[in-house]
Amino acid sequence: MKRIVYLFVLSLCLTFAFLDHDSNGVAYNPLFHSHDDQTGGASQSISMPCGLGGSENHKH
Amino acid sequence: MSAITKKIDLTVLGYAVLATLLFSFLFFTQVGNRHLYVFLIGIGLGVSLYHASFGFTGGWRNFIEHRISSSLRAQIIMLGLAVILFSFFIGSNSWIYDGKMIGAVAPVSVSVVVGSFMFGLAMQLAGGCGSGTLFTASSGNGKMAITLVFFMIGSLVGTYHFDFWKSLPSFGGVSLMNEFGKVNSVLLQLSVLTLLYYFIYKSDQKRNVNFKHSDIFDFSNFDLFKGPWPLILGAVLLVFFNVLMLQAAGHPWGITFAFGLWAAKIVQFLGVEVSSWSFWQLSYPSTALENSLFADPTTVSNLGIIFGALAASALAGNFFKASLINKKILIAAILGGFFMGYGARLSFGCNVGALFSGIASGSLHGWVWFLFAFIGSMIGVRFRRVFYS
Repeated sequence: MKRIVYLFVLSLCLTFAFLDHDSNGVAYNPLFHSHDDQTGGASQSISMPCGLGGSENHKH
Repeated sequence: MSAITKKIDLTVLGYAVLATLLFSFLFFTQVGNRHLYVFLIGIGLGVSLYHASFGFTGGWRNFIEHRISSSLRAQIIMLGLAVILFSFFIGSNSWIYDGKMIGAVAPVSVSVVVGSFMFGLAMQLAGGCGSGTLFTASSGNGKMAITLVFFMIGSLVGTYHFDFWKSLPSFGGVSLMNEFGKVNSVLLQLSVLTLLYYFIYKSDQKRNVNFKHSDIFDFSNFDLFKGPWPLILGAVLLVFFNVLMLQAAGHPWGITFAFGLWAAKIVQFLGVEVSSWSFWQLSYPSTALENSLFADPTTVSNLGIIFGALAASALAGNFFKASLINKKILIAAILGGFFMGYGARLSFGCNVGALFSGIASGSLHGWVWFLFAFIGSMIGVRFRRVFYS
Protein backbone atom coordinates (compact mmCIF):
# COMPACT_ATOMS: atom_id res chain seq x y z
CA MET A 1 0.00 0.00 0.00
CA LYS A 2 2.77 2.41 0.99
CA ARG A 3 4.54 1.96 -2.31
CA ILE A 4 1.31 2.72 -4.19
CA VAL A 5 0.97 5.95 -2.18
CA TYR A 6 4.60 6.71 -3.02
CA LEU A 7 3.97 6.21 -6.74
CA PHE A 8 0.80 8.28 -6.49
CA VAL A 9 2.72 11.19 -4.95
CA LEU A 10 5.37 10.88 -7.67
CA SER A 11 2.58 10.90 -10.28
CA LEU A 12 1.15 14.09 -8.75
CA CYS A 13 4.56 15.77 -9.04
CA LEU A 14 4.85 14.65 -12.66
CA THR A 15 1.34 15.96 -13.31
CA PHE A 16 2.45 19.37 -12.03
CA ALA A 17 5.37 19.23 -14.46
CA PHE A 18 3.01 18.32 -17.31
CA LEU A 19 0.72 21.22 -16.42
CA ASP A 20 3.71 23.54 -16.35
CA HIS A 21 4.76 22.24 -19.75
CA ASP A 22 1.26 22.70 -21.09
CA SER A 23 1.04 26.22 -19.71
CA ASN A 24 4.49 27.56 -20.58
CA GLY A 25 5.56 25.46 -23.54
CA VAL A 26 9.04 25.55 -24.94
CA ALA A 27 9.26 29.13 -26.12
CA TYR A 28 13.02 29.00 -25.94
CA ASN A 29 14.83 25.72 -26.03
CA PRO A 30 18.26 26.02 -24.45
CA LEU A 31 19.60 23.07 -26.40
CA PHE A 32 18.16 24.18 -29.71
CA HIS A 33 19.16 27.52 -30.95
CA SER A 34 21.34 28.89 -33.65
CA HIS A 35 23.88 31.61 -33.14
CA ASP A 36 21.66 34.11 -34.92
CA ASP A 37 18.62 33.45 -32.75
CA GLN A 38 16.81 35.77 -30.38
CA THR A 39 19.82 36.32 -28.19
CA GLY A 40 21.67 38.13 -30.93
CA GLY A 41 24.78 35.99 -30.80
CA ALA A 42 24.82 35.61 -27.05
CA SER A 43 23.20 32.24 -27.29
CA GLN A 44 26.19 30.34 -25.97
CA SER A 45 25.98 32.11 -22.65
CA ILE A 46 22.25 31.61 -22.30
CA SER A 47 22.45 28.02 -23.49
CA MET A 48 24.51 27.02 -20.46
CA PRO A 49 21.96 25.90 -17.91
CA CYS A 50 24.40 26.82 -15.20
CA GLY A 51 23.30 24.22 -12.82
CA LEU A 52 26.13 25.98 -11.07
CA GLY A 53 24.14 29.03 -10.24
CA GLY A 54 23.65 31.46 -13.06
CA SER A 55 25.57 32.23 -16.16
CA GLU A 56 25.96 35.89 -15.30
CA ASN A 57 27.93 35.01 -12.25
CA HIS A 58 30.67 33.20 -14.04
CA LYS A 59 32.25 33.24 -17.44
CA HIS A 60 32.61 30.18 -19.58
CA MET B 1 17.62 -12.39 2.46
CA SER B 2 20.19 -11.65 -0.23
CA ALA B 3 19.45 -9.29 -3.08
CA ILE B 4 19.65 -12.21 -5.53
CA THR B 5 16.73 -14.06 -3.92
CA LYS B 6 14.47 -10.99 -3.72
CA LYS B 7 11.60 -10.78 -6.14
CA ILE B 8 11.43 -8.16 -8.83
CA ASP B 9 8.76 -5.57 -8.00
CA LEU B 10 6.78 -5.74 -11.24
CA THR B 11 4.37 -2.93 -10.34
CA VAL B 12 7.15 -0.45 -9.73
CA LEU B 13 9.18 -1.71 -12.68
CA GLY B 14 6.13 -1.37 -14.92
CA TYR B 15 5.58 2.19 -13.68
CA ALA B 16 9.22 3.07 -14.38
CA VAL B 17 9.14 1.53 -17.86
CA LEU B 18 5.86 3.22 -18.80
CA ALA B 19 7.03 6.58 -17.48
CA THR B 20 10.29 6.20 -19.41
CA LEU B 21 8.43 5.46 -22.64
CA LEU B 22 6.00 8.33 -22.08
CA PHE B 23 8.71 10.89 -21.33
CA SER B 24 10.94 9.63 -24.14
CA PHE B 25 8.08 10.18 -26.56
CA LEU B 26 7.30 13.59 -25.07
CA PHE B 27 10.89 14.81 -25.18
CA PHE B 28 11.43 13.54 -28.72
CA THR B 29 8.20 14.96 -30.15
CA GLN B 30 7.71 18.16 -28.13
CA VAL B 31 11.15 19.28 -26.96
CA GLY B 32 13.95 17.81 -29.04
CA ASN B 33 16.17 14.81 -29.63
CA ARG B 34 18.99 16.17 -27.44
CA HIS B 35 16.60 16.29 -24.50
CA LEU B 36 15.75 12.67 -25.20
CA TYR B 37 19.46 11.78 -25.09
CA VAL B 38 19.90 13.73 -21.84
CA PHE B 39 16.92 11.86 -20.39
CA LEU B 40 18.31 8.46 -21.39
CA ILE B 41 21.73 9.38 -19.98
CA GLY B 42 19.93 10.30 -16.75
CA ILE B 43 18.40 6.83 -16.65
CA GLY B 44 21.86 5.31 -17.01
CA LEU B 45 23.08 7.51 -14.17
CA GLY B 46 20.14 6.54 -11.95
CA VAL B 47 20.69 2.81 -12.49
CA SER B 48 24.46 3.14 -11.94
CA LEU B 49 24.08 5.24 -8.79
CA TYR B 50 21.59 2.78 -7.33
CA HIS B 51 23.26 -0.51 -8.21
CA ALA B 52 26.76 0.65 -7.24
CA SER B 53 25.35 2.46 -4.16
CA PHE B 54 27.58 5.27 -5.28
CA GLY B 55 27.23 8.08 -2.76
CA PHE B 56 29.72 10.54 -1.38
CA THR B 57 28.25 10.90 2.10
CA GLY B 58 28.68 7.39 3.43
CA GLY B 59 32.09 7.02 1.81
CA TRP B 60 33.39 10.20 3.41
CA ARG B 61 31.88 9.26 6.76
CA ASN B 62 33.43 5.78 6.64
CA PHE B 63 36.83 7.34 6.08
CA ILE B 64 36.42 10.06 8.72
CA GLU B 65 35.15 7.67 11.38
CA HIS B 66 36.87 4.38 10.58
CA ARG B 67 39.47 5.22 7.92
CA ILE B 68 37.67 2.81 5.57
CA SER B 69 38.61 4.22 2.20
CA SER B 70 37.00 2.04 -0.48
CA SER B 71 34.35 4.54 -1.57
CA LEU B 72 36.71 7.50 -1.37
CA ARG B 73 39.31 5.67 -3.46
CA ALA B 74 36.67 4.89 -6.09
CA GLN B 75 35.76 8.60 -6.14
CA ILE B 76 39.42 9.57 -6.63
CA ILE B 77 39.72 7.13 -9.54
CA MET B 78 36.49 8.52 -10.98
CA LEU B 79 37.83 12.07 -10.76
CA GLY B 80 41.14 11.06 -12.36
CA LEU B 81 39.39 9.35 -15.29
CA ALA B 82 37.07 12.32 -15.74
CA VAL B 83 39.96 14.82 -15.68
CA ILE B 84 41.69 12.91 -18.49
CA LEU B 85 38.61 12.40 -20.67
CA PHE B 86 37.14 15.88 -20.21
CA SER B 87 40.44 17.45 -21.27
CA PHE B 88 39.90 15.98 -24.75
CA PHE B 89 36.39 17.37 -25.08
CA ILE B 90 36.10 20.74 -23.31
CA GLY B 91 36.16 23.47 -25.92
CA SER B 92 35.80 20.96 -28.79
CA ASN B 93 32.85 20.42 -31.06
CA SER B 94 30.27 17.93 -29.88
CA TRP B 95 29.70 14.65 -31.72
CA ILE B 96 25.95 15.18 -31.34
CA TYR B 97 25.25 18.81 -32.20
CA ASP B 98 26.95 21.61 -34.06
CA GLY B 99 28.59 23.59 -31.28
CA LYS B 100 31.32 23.62 -28.69
CA MET B 101 31.12 21.93 -25.31
CA ILE B 102 31.79 24.03 -22.22
CA GLY B 103 33.06 23.09 -18.79
CA ALA B 104 31.58 23.69 -15.35
CA VAL B 105 33.81 26.59 -14.35
CA ALA B 106 32.50 28.73 -11.49
CA PRO B 107 34.03 31.41 -9.26
CA VAL B 108 36.37 30.80 -6.38
CA SER B 109 34.72 32.95 -3.77
CA VAL B 110 33.78 33.37 -0.14
CA SER B 111 30.33 32.03 -1.00
CA VAL B 112 31.88 28.79 -2.33
CA VAL B 113 33.87 28.33 0.88
CA VAL B 114 30.81 28.93 3.09
CA GLY B 115 28.41 27.01 0.84
CA SER B 116 30.58 23.92 0.40
CA PHE B 117 31.34 23.78 4.14
CA MET B 118 27.62 24.05 4.85
CA PHE B 119 26.84 21.39 2.24
CA GLY B 120 29.42 18.96 3.62
CA LEU B 121 28.10 19.33 7.15
CA ALA B 122 24.47 19.08 6.08
CA MET B 123 24.94 16.01 3.91
CA GLN B 124 26.16 14.09 6.94
CA LEU B 125 23.03 15.10 8.83
CA ALA B 126 20.76 14.11 5.97
CA GLY B 127 22.66 10.94 5.10
CA GLY B 128 22.88 11.76 1.41
CA CYS B 129 24.40 14.30 -0.97
CA GLY B 130 22.83 15.83 -4.10
CA SER B 131 22.95 12.69 -6.22
CA GLY B 132 22.46 10.44 -3.18
CA THR B 133 19.33 12.28 -2.10
CA LEU B 134 17.84 12.08 -5.59
CA PHE B 135 18.48 8.40 -6.24
CA THR B 136 17.56 7.17 -2.75
CA ALA B 137 14.39 9.28 -2.62
CA SER B 138 13.49 7.88 -6.03
CA SER B 139 13.96 4.33 -4.83
CA GLY B 140 11.36 4.76 -2.12
CA ASN B 141 13.35 6.02 0.85
CA GLY B 142 10.82 8.16 2.74
CA LYS B 143 13.41 9.98 4.84
CA MET B 144 15.33 11.03 1.74
CA ALA B 145 12.10 12.15 0.07
CA ILE B 146 11.64 14.56 3.00
CA THR B 147 15.28 15.62 2.59
CA LEU B 148 14.63 16.29 -1.10
CA VAL B 149 11.67 18.56 -0.34
CA PHE B 150 13.78 20.63 2.07
CA PHE B 151 16.69 20.54 -0.38
CA MET B 152 14.38 22.30 -2.84
CA ILE B 153 13.26 24.83 -0.20
CA GLY B 154 16.88 25.53 0.80
CA SER B 155 17.85 26.02 -2.84
CA LEU B 156 15.03 28.50 -3.29
CA VAL B 157 15.97 30.47 -0.18
CA GLY B 158 19.57 30.46 -1.45
CA THR B 159 18.43 32.12 -4.66
CA TYR B 160 16.53 34.74 -2.59
CA HIS B 161 19.78 35.68 -0.78
CA PHE B 162 21.78 35.52 -4.00
CA ASP B 163 22.59 39.26 -4.04
CA PHE B 164 24.23 39.17 -0.63
CA TRP B 165 26.43 36.17 -1.38
CA LYS B 166 27.33 37.53 -4.80
CA SER B 167 28.54 40.75 -3.17
CA LEU B 168 31.21 38.94 -1.13
CA PRO B 169 34.84 38.78 -2.36
CA SER B 170 35.47 36.55 -5.37
CA PHE B 171 38.39 35.71 -7.64
CA GLY B 172 36.00 34.90 -10.47
CA GLY B 173 36.14 31.65 -12.39
CA VAL B 174 39.60 30.06 -12.51
CA SER B 175 40.05 27.45 -15.24
CA LEU B 176 43.23 25.44 -14.73
CA MET B 177 43.08 24.52 -18.42
CA ASN B 178 43.24 28.20 -19.36
CA GLU B 179 45.86 29.03 -16.75
CA PHE B 180 48.29 26.19 -17.38
CA GLY B 181 47.19 24.61 -20.67
CA LYS B 182 45.39 21.31 -21.04
CA VAL B 183 48.35 18.95 -20.60
CA ASN B 184 49.78 20.72 -17.56
CA SER B 185 46.34 21.07 -16.04
CA VAL B 186 45.72 17.33 -16.39
CA LEU B 187 49.17 16.47 -14.99
CA LEU B 188 48.71 18.85 -12.07
CA GLN B 189 45.28 17.51 -11.17
CA LEU B 190 46.34 13.88 -11.57
CA SER B 191 49.34 14.54 -9.30
CA VAL B 192 47.09 15.94 -6.58
CA LEU B 193 44.67 13.04 -6.97
CA THR B 194 47.52 10.52 -6.78
CA LEU B 195 48.81 12.12 -3.60
CA LEU B 196 45.31 12.06 -2.16
CA TYR B 197 44.89 8.40 -3.08
CA TYR B 198 48.23 7.59 -1.45
CA PHE B 199 47.33 9.45 1.76
CA ILE B 200 43.90 7.85 1.91
CA TYR B 201 45.04 4.28 1.36
CA LYS B 202 47.97 4.67 3.79
CA SER B 203 45.56 5.94 6.47
CA ASP B 204 43.25 3.00 5.82
CA GLN B 205 46.09 0.47 5.78
CA LYS B 206 47.43 1.82 9.08
CA ARG B 207 44.05 1.52 10.85
CA ASN B 208 42.54 -1.55 9.17
CA VAL B 209 44.60 -4.70 8.89
CA ASN B 210 42.27 -6.20 6.28
CA PHE B 211 42.83 -3.37 3.83
CA LYS B 212 42.88 -4.44 0.18
CA HIS B 213 43.22 -2.29 -2.93
CA SER B 214 41.10 -4.81 -4.81
CA ASP B 215 37.96 -4.36 -2.68
CA ILE B 216 36.51 -1.82 -5.08
CA PHE B 217 37.03 -4.26 -7.98
CA ASP B 218 35.11 -7.07 -6.29
CA PHE B 219 32.75 -8.64 -8.85
CA SER B 220 32.03 -11.75 -6.76
CA ASN B 221 28.38 -10.77 -6.01
CA PHE B 222 27.89 -8.92 -9.28
CA ASP B 223 24.46 -9.14 -10.85
CA LEU B 224 23.83 -6.87 -13.83
CA PHE B 225 20.09 -6.45 -13.27
CA LYS B 226 19.69 -6.81 -9.52
CA GLY B 227 23.01 -5.44 -8.33
CA PRO B 228 25.13 -4.89 -6.41
CA TRP B 229 27.73 -3.51 -8.75
CA PRO B 230 31.31 -2.99 -7.60
CA LEU B 231 32.30 0.59 -6.82
CA ILE B 232 34.78 0.72 -9.67
CA LEU B 233 32.06 -0.10 -12.20
CA GLY B 234 29.93 2.69 -10.72
CA ALA B 235 32.87 5.10 -10.96
CA VAL B 236 33.64 4.21 -14.59
CA LEU B 237 29.98 4.41 -15.61
CA LEU B 238 29.47 7.79 -13.93
CA VAL B 239 32.44 9.14 -15.91
CA PHE B 240 31.10 7.54 -19.09
CA PHE B 241 27.65 9.07 -18.62
CA ASN B 242 29.08 12.46 -17.63
CA VAL B 243 31.09 12.49 -20.88
CA LEU B 244 27.92 11.59 -22.79
CA MET B 245 26.11 14.39 -20.93
CA LEU B 246 28.80 16.81 -22.05
CA GLN B 247 28.33 15.63 -25.63
CA ALA B 248 24.54 15.78 -25.60
CA ALA B 249 23.82 18.81 -23.41
CA GLY B 250 27.01 20.76 -24.17
CA HIS B 251 27.84 21.06 -20.49
CA PRO B 252 28.70 18.54 -17.76
CA TRP B 253 26.27 16.80 -15.44
CA GLY B 254 24.59 18.91 -12.75
CA ILE B 255 21.69 18.24 -10.40
CA THR B 256 20.83 20.98 -7.94
CA PHE B 257 19.87 23.89 -10.20
CA ALA B 258 16.72 21.94 -11.02
CA PHE B 259 15.79 21.61 -7.32
CA GLY B 260 15.72 25.39 -6.95
CA LEU B 261 13.84 25.71 -10.22
CA TRP B 262 11.18 23.20 -9.16
CA ALA B 263 10.66 25.06 -5.88
CA ALA B 264 10.54 28.40 -7.69
CA LYS B 265 7.90 27.07 -10.10
CA ILE B 266 5.77 25.82 -7.19
CA VAL B 267 5.88 29.07 -5.19
CA GLN B 268 5.29 31.04 -8.38
CA PHE B 269 2.21 28.90 -8.95
CA LEU B 270 1.14 29.82 -5.41
CA GLY B 271 1.44 33.51 -6.24
CA VAL B 272 4.95 34.49 -5.14
CA GLU B 273 6.71 36.83 -7.59
CA VAL B 274 9.91 34.80 -7.82
CA SER B 275 10.77 36.36 -11.16
CA SER B 276 11.50 39.66 -9.39
CA TRP B 277 14.37 38.11 -7.42
CA SER B 278 17.72 38.98 -8.96
CA PHE B 279 18.83 35.34 -9.33
CA TRP B 280 15.75 34.62 -11.42
CA GLN B 281 16.50 37.62 -13.59
CA LEU B 282 19.85 36.19 -14.69
CA SER B 283 19.90 35.03 -18.28
CA TYR B 284 19.51 31.29 -17.93
CA PRO B 285 17.48 31.12 -14.68
CA SER B 286 14.94 33.61 -16.05
CA THR B 287 14.63 31.59 -19.25
CA ALA B 288 14.22 28.38 -17.26
CA LEU B 289 11.54 29.95 -15.07
CA GLU B 290 9.50 31.16 -18.03
CA ASN B 291 9.86 27.95 -20.00
CA SER B 292 8.49 24.48 -19.54
CA LEU B 293 10.34 22.41 -16.95
CA PHE B 294 10.91 19.89 -19.71
CA ALA B 295 13.11 22.37 -21.58
CA ASP B 296 15.58 22.52 -18.70
CA PRO B 297 18.27 19.85 -19.27
CA THR B 298 19.02 19.54 -15.53
CA THR B 299 15.36 18.73 -14.85
CA VAL B 300 15.36 16.28 -17.76
CA SER B 301 18.45 14.41 -16.50
CA ASN B 302 17.04 14.40 -12.95
CA LEU B 303 13.83 12.82 -14.28
CA GLY B 304 15.98 10.18 -15.93
CA ILE B 305 17.78 9.54 -12.63
CA ILE B 306 14.42 9.22 -10.84
CA PHE B 307 13.11 6.61 -13.28
CA GLY B 308 16.49 4.85 -13.50
CA ALA B 309 16.73 4.50 -9.71
CA LEU B 310 13.07 3.49 -9.55
CA ALA B 311 13.63 0.72 -12.10
CA ALA B 312 16.88 -0.43 -10.48
CA SER B 313 15.30 -0.63 -7.02
CA ALA B 314 12.36 -2.57 -8.49
CA LEU B 315 14.75 -5.00 -10.19
CA ALA B 316 16.64 -5.43 -6.93
CA GLY B 317 13.35 -5.98 -5.08
CA ASN B 318 14.27 -3.15 -2.73
CA PHE B 319 11.76 -0.41 -3.57
CA PHE B 320 10.36 1.31 -0.50
CA LYS B 321 12.67 -0.33 1.96
CA ALA B 322 11.17 0.57 5.32
CA SER B 323 13.41 2.89 7.29
CA LEU B 324 13.02 4.04 10.86
CA ILE B 325 12.06 7.72 11.03
CA ASN B 326 11.81 9.13 14.52
CA LYS B 327 11.57 12.78 15.54
CA LYS B 328 15.34 13.24 15.73
CA ILE B 329 15.96 11.68 12.33
CA LEU B 330 13.16 13.77 10.85
CA ILE B 331 14.83 16.94 12.17
CA ALA B 332 18.16 15.77 10.73
CA ALA B 333 16.53 15.16 7.34
CA ILE B 334 14.88 18.61 7.37
CA LEU B 335 17.99 20.50 8.50
CA GLY B 336 20.28 18.47 6.26
CA GLY B 337 18.08 18.94 3.20
CA PHE B 338 17.59 22.65 3.76
CA PHE B 339 21.24 23.48 4.31
CA MET B 340 22.40 21.26 1.46
CA GLY B 341 20.07 23.18 -0.83
CA TYR B 342 21.16 26.55 0.52
CA GLY B 343 24.84 25.55 0.43
CA ALA B 344 24.56 24.23 -3.12
CA ARG B 345 23.30 27.59 -4.36
CA LEU B 346 26.08 29.47 -2.57
CA SER B 347 28.76 27.14 -3.86
CA PHE B 348 27.51 26.78 -7.44
CA GLY B 349 26.57 23.13 -7.21
CA CYS B 350 26.81 19.98 -5.18
CA ASN B 351 29.09 16.97 -5.15
CA VAL B 352 28.17 16.45 -8.81
CA GLY B 353 27.94 19.91 -10.40
CA ALA B 354 30.74 21.49 -8.36
CA LEU B 355 33.01 18.65 -7.25
CA PHE B 356 32.76 16.00 -9.97
CA SER B 357 32.00 18.15 -13.01
CA GLY B 358 34.01 21.12 -11.67
CA ILE B 359 37.22 19.16 -11.14
CA ALA B 360 36.69 17.26 -14.41
CA SER B 361 36.42 20.64 -16.18
CA GLY B 362 39.63 21.90 -14.54
CA SER B 363 37.80 24.48 -12.43
CA LEU B 364 39.62 25.56 -9.27
CA HIS B 365 36.30 26.02 -7.52
CA GLY B 366 35.79 22.24 -7.67
CA TRP B 367 38.91 21.73 -5.55
CA VAL B 368 37.90 24.45 -3.10
CA TRP B 369 34.48 22.80 -2.88
CA PHE B 370 36.08 19.39 -2.20
CA LEU B 371 38.31 20.76 0.59
CA PHE B 372 35.66 22.73 2.45
CA ALA B 373 32.89 20.17 1.99
CA PHE B 374 35.21 17.56 3.48
CA ILE B 375 36.00 19.81 6.45
CA GLY B 376 32.25 20.40 6.84
CA SER B 377 31.69 16.63 6.73
CA MET B 378 34.25 16.07 9.49
CA ILE B 379 32.18 18.32 11.74
CA GLY B 380 28.89 16.98 10.35
CA VAL B 381 29.83 13.44 11.34
CA ARG B 382 30.03 14.61 14.98
CA PHE B 383 26.70 16.47 14.79
CA ARG B 384 25.13 13.43 13.18
CA ARG B 385 25.65 11.39 16.35
CA VAL B 386 23.20 13.68 18.15
CA PHE B 387 20.42 12.72 15.75
CA TYR B 388 21.22 9.10 14.95
CA SER B 389 22.19 7.84 18.40
